[in-house]
Order: sequence, then C-alpha cells, then structure tokens
Amino acid sequence: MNPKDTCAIAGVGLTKLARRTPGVSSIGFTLEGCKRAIEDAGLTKDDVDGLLVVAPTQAGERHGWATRIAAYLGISSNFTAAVECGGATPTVMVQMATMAINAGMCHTVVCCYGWQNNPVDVPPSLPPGLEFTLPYGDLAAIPFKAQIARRHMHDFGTTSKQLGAVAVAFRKHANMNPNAQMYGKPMTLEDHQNSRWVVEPLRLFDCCLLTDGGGAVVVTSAERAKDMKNRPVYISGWGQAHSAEFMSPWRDPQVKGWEGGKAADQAFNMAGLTRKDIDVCQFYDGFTILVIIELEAYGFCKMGEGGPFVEDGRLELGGELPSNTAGGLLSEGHTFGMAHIVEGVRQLRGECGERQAKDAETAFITGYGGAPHEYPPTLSYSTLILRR
Amino acid sequence: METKFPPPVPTPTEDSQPFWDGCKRRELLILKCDACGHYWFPPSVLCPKCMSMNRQWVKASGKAKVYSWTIFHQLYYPSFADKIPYNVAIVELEEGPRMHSNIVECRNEDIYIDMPLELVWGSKLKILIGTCPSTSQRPGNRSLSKPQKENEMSAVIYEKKDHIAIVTISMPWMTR
Ligand SMILES: [Zn+2]
Repeated sequence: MNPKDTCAIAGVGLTKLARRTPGVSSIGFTLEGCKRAIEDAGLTKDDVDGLLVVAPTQAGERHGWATRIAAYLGISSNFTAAVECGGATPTVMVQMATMAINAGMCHTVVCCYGWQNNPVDVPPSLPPGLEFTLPYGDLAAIPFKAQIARRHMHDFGTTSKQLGAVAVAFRKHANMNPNAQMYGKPMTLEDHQNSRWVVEPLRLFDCCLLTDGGGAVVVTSAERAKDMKNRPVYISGWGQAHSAEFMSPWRDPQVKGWEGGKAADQAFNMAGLTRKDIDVCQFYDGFTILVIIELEAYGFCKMGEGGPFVEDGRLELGGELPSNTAGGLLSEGHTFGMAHIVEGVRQLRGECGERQAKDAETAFITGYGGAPHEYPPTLSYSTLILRR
Repeated sequence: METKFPPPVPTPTEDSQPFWDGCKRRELLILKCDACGHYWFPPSVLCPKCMSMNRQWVKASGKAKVYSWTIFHQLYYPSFADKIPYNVAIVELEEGPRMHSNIVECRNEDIYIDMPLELVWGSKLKILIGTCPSTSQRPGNRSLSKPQKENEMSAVIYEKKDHIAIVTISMPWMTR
C-alpha cells in the first residue's frame, strides 16, 4: 500500500528559541512544545494516543525517556519511543508516526523534542567512543562537516563565498521571523567572509546556532485531520538513507553520488511528484555545506553544482527555490530540524506573513544526522514531502 | 611545552584492544577478511563487505594519502590549547580503510588532498602538532615504523610511558 496522504500534520508548536534559557529543563521545553502543538491542532492531551521524542544524547542513562514525557503530559499512550538519528530524527519520527497510525496501533501521535544546552543535573563530560578522533584533537560535530566541505571544494571548486550565500539567504529569512534567534541581526556576504574560522574551511557563520528550546508536531490520520481546527497538511512522501559513505572508499560520494539520493527518490516516487513540483524547501542546515550537498543529493541540481546553484539568491524568498524560510538552524535556531517541519506546515497553511512563499502547495523537508565523531563516522539523510 | 591538562588517552574497547596493543609494538594493525580479502577499520567482529567472521589482524604498509583535511582554530579540548591552529586529516591507507590522523612535519598550508603520506611513530611525551621543519628540511624517504630519536621533530601525539602510543599517519615522502 502506498501510504501517500494517509496521514496529515494537524498541529505544530515551537517554544521561544534562545541561546541561553536558564531555569527550563529539556523536559520542560519538550512539554511546552507538545502543549503548543496539541493546542494548535485544537485537541486536548486526551486525544493523543502516541508519542515519539528525540532521544536525549547528553550524558547519563535516560531509560524510558519517551514514556516519562508521556507521563508528564498525562497521556496514556499505545505507541511510544525515543528516537535517535541525530538531526534526521524529527523527520524520521513523522515517518514512524505515519507507519504506526497506518498499522492501527494509534491514531494521533505527538512527535516532540526539547533541549537545554546547560542542564544543571548533567555535569559536562565526554561521550564514549572517541578513541579514534579525540586523541588527534578532533571533537564535536563541526570538524567532520569541515572535512566534507574541504573535499567538496577540492572535487568541485566550491568556494567559501558560495557557502556564505547559503548563510546570507537564511539570515534574510530569519529577519522576517520574530521567533528567530538572529531576528534583527542582518548579515552580509562580507560579514560571512570576515567571520572567524572555527574548523577551516568552515567559518563561524557556516555553523548553526546553539539553542535552548522545544517543539512538536501532531500527526494524525487524514480522516481525522479533516475535522480538525486547521487545514490538514498531508504527508505525501518520505524516504531515508543511512551510511558511512564519506569513510568508505568503495562507496565514494564523488564517484557514486550522495547516498541521500535514495531518500529523495523514494519520497518523490511515493508522492508521485517531481522536483519541479516543489514550492518551498526546508533543508537541514546544521552547516552551510550540508545545504549544497543536499541540493545535489536530492536532485535539485547535479553532483558538484550545488555551489553555483546557491548563488544569485536562488534559495531566497522570491528566488527559484525558496528555502529555510524561517531562518533554519543557521539563523532561526538549532531545533534538531523540528522547526523545519513546523515552518513547512505553516508555509502550506499560508500563515507566514512577510516570509510567506507565494502559492506554496508543496514542501520538501529534510533531516540530516549521524555520528560524525564516533567511529565509524556515519551520515543519515531523511526526507518528507508535505502538501496542502 | 607541557600542558597542564593531560592529553586525551584512547580508551580501548574489546574490539579495539588489539589495535592499541599493536601500537605499543609500533605496528599499525587493521583487519583483513579471510573470505573476501577486504581490509577494514575501525575494528569489529565481522567483515562489512561479506559478513564473514574469519579475520586476521595484519600490519598495514603505513603508506597512505590525504582524503580530506581541516585546520582547527577553535579550542575543543584543553590539552590542545597551545597547538592551535592544528590540522586533523582523514587519511586513506594503501589497503583502503580511512581514519583520522594528524599530519606532522608539514606546514598546515602545505597539506593537499591526495598528498602521499608515510607512517611515523611517536616516541615522546609531547604533542607537536602544528610545528614542523621548513619545506627544505622536510625528510625524504624515511623508513617505515622507525622510532624517532628523542628531541627530534616527531610524529608523536601521545605516549604514556610504556602504555599506548597513538599512531600517526604523517610525513609526505614526496613533495608536490
Ligand atoms: Zn569479507
């Protein structure tokens, strides 16, 4: 059975996003995100019978995380799990919710996340699994993306200014979004080029923000969604692709194409749509280089042409492929990609005011994650096609 | 210069212990599949090409090339504070596997993709990432796995007494 349009997103919610928000826990953010999404759908918590949450990755054992979130919400659930695919997780959770609803396990699933960067109950510590990276001074998410960027520059001539074009486009959009962390802070290409190196060839403005916050979306059957408060936004297609492509010489992206192509092909086949049918995109943009790679992987341009593609405002509102219209991880906030789904839904409902993409009927939304600093370094692509 | 904050020491797992034991003997060990001949890293119990569990630890030649590389300008770990800016590369061994490494005896700005590399072993308690002799003094063909003399510019990342040395794939044996 093709699950196209069998389910819809009926509600979305985000908390305030900020660099530092002392006094609110990860659970606190998660619960507020759920409340906002459930109320946006015009539902009560008792209408929800499933819950998926981004698994916490901060140190310490977190047994039963999802069930605890459900318990804090006062929900008794038929379908509950903590999911972990890094930045691919929110899109993957929406896919899983759709599958569970189609399997008859439940009818309405809230997919949520919450993140406090400086939790008072978790002392700073290193995760295990760094034996093949940390001794060389390698740590955290940025360096592996810098390795990918360097290779892309070598193979295809991609430039730092092209990376900057991505950052500048999304910053423009953030300045139309009062909930964005970078609202009221414009950025020029020159600002980008003058920003300091973090891990060369990535500059500070090539990297996403650090964000305390939470968010959620409510997935329900298309049948139920028809009678809910908002115009339903249907889940038309999806796909995933996971691999260690960059570290596997027999599977070199430069030769065989990005693994993520499969995640897009599957989604477009399911939805019966082509790239040309997409009105607005929300690309997982933990780093500027990812957007360039995703454009290539997902077939919006050819392999190696992502750099030139992002020039001349093509990703900006009014451009050929308006993308990350709320500012993205680069300028709205790091929400693990949950805000990408929220913004996709709002665009298709036509609620975005100044930053509304004209006549948006279809949205392409992506997640991108993995374990880049734990061996073997892996990458995960995930896609969603939504339509109104 | 000694750092007050100790450099990170790798914590072997059941799977990787033989690799680190090999490093103590100045041997760069990778796994080779008996069934299909595939070489792999990081260590695990089965071949990622054919799933055979019949495997051998074999000594890598130590020849490698740069697959990609970066320069760290931001401090991520206190013991590297005085090394900034330092390089971290992904190197591809002649046998196929890729791994992280530092490139030593080479200025950061001289690193390039596909640069030929040769294995050197550290022998000191110091981290010397980011420092190197000038191009004219850069060593030519140096024998593999030959421990460096004390006080000589070396590839050491960290060696804790007689415990563990971290292998470093480094040193271009050809200049561009
Ligand atoms: Zn094999």
